[in-house]
Amino acid sequence: MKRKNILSLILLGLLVITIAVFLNSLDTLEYENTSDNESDIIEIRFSSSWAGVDSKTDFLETLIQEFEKEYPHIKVLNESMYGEDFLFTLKADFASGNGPDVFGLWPGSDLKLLIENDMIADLAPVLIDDLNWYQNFDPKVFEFLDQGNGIYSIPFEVIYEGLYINKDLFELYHVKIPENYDELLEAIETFNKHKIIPIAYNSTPEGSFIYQNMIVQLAGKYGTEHPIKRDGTIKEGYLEAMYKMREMYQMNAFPEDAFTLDDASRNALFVYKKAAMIVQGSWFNSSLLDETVGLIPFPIGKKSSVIYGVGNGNFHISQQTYKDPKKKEASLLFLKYLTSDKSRAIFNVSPSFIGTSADESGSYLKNLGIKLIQEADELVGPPDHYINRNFWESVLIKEFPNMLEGQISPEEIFEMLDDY
Amino acid sequence: MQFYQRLNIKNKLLMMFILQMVLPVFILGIFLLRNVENNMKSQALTLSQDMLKVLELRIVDFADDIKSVSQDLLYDLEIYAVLNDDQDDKFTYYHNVNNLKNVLRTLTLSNDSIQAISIIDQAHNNYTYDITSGRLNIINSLPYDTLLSVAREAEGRPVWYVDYNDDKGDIYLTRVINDIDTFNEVGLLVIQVNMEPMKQDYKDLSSELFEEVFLIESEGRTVFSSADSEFDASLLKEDETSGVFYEDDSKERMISFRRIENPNWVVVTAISKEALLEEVNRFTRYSFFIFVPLVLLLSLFTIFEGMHMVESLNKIVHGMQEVSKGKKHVNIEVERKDEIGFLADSFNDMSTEIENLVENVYTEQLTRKEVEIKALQAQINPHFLYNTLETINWHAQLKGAPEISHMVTALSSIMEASIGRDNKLITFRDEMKYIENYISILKYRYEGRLEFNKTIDPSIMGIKIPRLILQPIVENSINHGIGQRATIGEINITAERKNDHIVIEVCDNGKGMTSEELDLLMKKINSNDGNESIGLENVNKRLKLFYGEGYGIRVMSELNVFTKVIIIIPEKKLNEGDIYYV
Repeated sequence: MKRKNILSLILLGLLVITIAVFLNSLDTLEYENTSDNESDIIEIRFSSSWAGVDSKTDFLETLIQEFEKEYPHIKVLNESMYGEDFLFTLKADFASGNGPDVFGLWPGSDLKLLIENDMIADLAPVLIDDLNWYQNFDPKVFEFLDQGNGIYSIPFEVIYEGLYINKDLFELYHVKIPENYDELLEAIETFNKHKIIPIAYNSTPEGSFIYQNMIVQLAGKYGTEHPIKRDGTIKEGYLEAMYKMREMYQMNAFPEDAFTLDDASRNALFVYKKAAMIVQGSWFNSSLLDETVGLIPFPIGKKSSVIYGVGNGNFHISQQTYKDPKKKEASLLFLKYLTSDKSRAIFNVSPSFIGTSADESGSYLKNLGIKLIQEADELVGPPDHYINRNFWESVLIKEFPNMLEGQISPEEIFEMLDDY
Repeated sequence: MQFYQRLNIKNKLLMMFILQMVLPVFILGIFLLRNVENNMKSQALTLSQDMLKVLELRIVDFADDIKSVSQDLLYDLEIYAVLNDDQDDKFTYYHNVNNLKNVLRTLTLSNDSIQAISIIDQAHNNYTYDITSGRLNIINSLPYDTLLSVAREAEGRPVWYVDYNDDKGDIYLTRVINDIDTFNEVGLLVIQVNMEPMKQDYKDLSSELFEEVFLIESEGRTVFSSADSEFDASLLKEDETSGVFYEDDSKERMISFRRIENPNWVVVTAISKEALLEEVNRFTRYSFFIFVPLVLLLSLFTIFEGMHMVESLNKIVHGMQEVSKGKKHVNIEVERKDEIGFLADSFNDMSTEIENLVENVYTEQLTRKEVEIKALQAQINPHFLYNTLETINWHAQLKGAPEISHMVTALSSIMEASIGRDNKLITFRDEMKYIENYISILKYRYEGRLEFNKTIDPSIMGIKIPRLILQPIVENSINHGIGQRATIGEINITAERKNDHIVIEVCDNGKGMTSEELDLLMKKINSNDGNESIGLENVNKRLKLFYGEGYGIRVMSELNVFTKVIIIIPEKKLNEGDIYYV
């Protein structure tokens, strides 16, 4: 190589180094920013009534753990609450724009109000896009929900209500399992004689299931689901049920402290055989109940009408979440996981869970429930779904003890419905 | 490149020094200083980001606390009892209001950051608790319409608003209250926050390095700063959650900011570049003071050493120029033992050698000139003489004088040989013929007192030798040997081969020489003064020039007995066309 070429190469190298040094020494402002990693994890809030003493609580926790293992970038904050606090908190959260991302809510006036206020996302396009997911559910359940053109709810769990009986107490005191109202009254008398509380009742909203069961038996499906007559008054079934409740109250069919008893204590009376009967729903099934327990429709009407519906395992995504692409994706993932076959397998272990697939079977209690549904003459939605919720809780439930005591008549109570 | 080539060595050395020493140190210095500076800035900015992250967490915690209070209030049924009350039953209404105020008082007193809580219903009735007096004093300054507007946009969610109607910004968290059963709007919740505790924290955080800390709200207004000054929020990039930049072109302050997601505020800190780089600048100054004298001293060293080197080279160049101008010998004095010293020594040797060679060439040329002049002298109109001799020969033969004819013929042959035509070399045979003609003429002169014998190896006859080598010797023998005696003179020429050499001997029985005379003669033959040239000396020089210093003539003599001239030449075969100056 010529000297000229070598010198040129050396000068070129010198130039390159000088430029590199110059560029490397430019006045740049840099900083390390490693503290934003937490933003990689998407947090979604979930709320349902599957909490506290609910038998599905543990299964829900298991499911969330499994989900978070499978999707480590998503954190599910389980804000589920048991009992009446659940609905209040859910409504208060939605009222304050603070609704959970994914939540369970049984059908009824509250759900209807949320849908009307555009607070719940329409999931129909997602279900159409993912037919495998859609086929996971019995189509009849969607029909039952009847949400018009949209699909706002993903029904995962059905519920029923009926009269749970401690068969062993009936046998012990030679009481015939009641098939009509008169036999029920006889049974009440017999148990009273043996210092057994005939029916575990309290005056909370959940305690009012007995009243609701009596309504469906007395008013029938149409009467229950269309409670207001043309003249604006309440249908007879709703009034008659109250009078019969008062009759039973006067026969001491209920615990002495029924007005102050909480839900858990009320349930305990039946579970620990201090009460012979309780009107409860499928969520009441638990390992505490064995084969000494039976389940029958409330024995009052001519037909066997059973309260049936979709339970709290009726899942939704809030509209607010749906507008946020990141949260929407994470929430849909969780919702699909929550309503998948895998999830069903987890919850099926719980005796209180009856899924929404076409073929369901399971434990003794679950089979009793399925049998109750299958043998029913008609399946009726819970009456509190058809009466203004606010009235139901603020007036009807509150005034129920007064009504039982005879201080207010059933008609006077329903007159107050006009204000709602 | 041409520029570099044109530079003299001194400047080249200086340039190389700059390239090798100053440039790398300069580049390295800039590289190091700039990198240290960048590194320090990077560390300060990272530190500032960490500090801002802490501030962010504190603000988020603070905001979450206030939000929790507002959410707790919305979980309280007392609010809905008051807001949904149609006030038909005044007793119940006042009972509910009293309950609500108790709730408000409890929440306000239990939280340092809350100045006041106000709940305003659709009919603009307000239910307020203010920490300063417990009376309804915030309601006068509350920008209700604006707060309602921003709260409605948030659809029930809490939203922050900073009001600048008076000198200082009032910070509010507000949200509409929707009925939990109907989701209809029933009122407005406003919480006025007290930022004083946090302000104090900000002041404590500012330092010499972190000159100021600002909190900027979503509209770009300064919520507060540690030094009570304003910050131009338009400098902040909207799409960056955090970042750093220079505040302006003067680059005196570096700005580090961090956007807080909720509330949508920005925490900003201004870093004084002067305070940050104080140590670096001091180091730079010290380095400069060390570097400059070092460079100057090293430059002087280089220049001094370079000059010394260049001086030596210049001496050599000067010597070369002298030589090229024609000076025969130049001696350079260089006190170096390196390559330049070697170069100077070599130059000196070369100069001496050149001088010798020039001297030799000069002498050789002089000798040749002398021979040529002699030859020219001998060739004065040789053709005229030759023709005249032929005419004499013709007349002698006509007049019947055969001796004259013989002599003229011999003379004519000698002249022919002297003219030499073009060939500088002749065969030994021709040289002998020339000798014989010469002697035959001289025989007439010496009238029978001269005898000539030759013993020649026939194989030698064809060998070429320089012209007229033997004639001066024979002439010498006759003039100085035989001619000095009255007896018959005898000249013997022998020629034979001996070990690749040809040895020619010319021997006469003339006067001879004493050993002193012989020494004198030999000195004369070998001397180079050239002032008094004799035939033998001429022959000797020509032989040496032609065959080399190892060759020439030798003379042996004994007084009154003999003189023998011996010529030893190499058996050198020469081609016909070769030309030699002999």
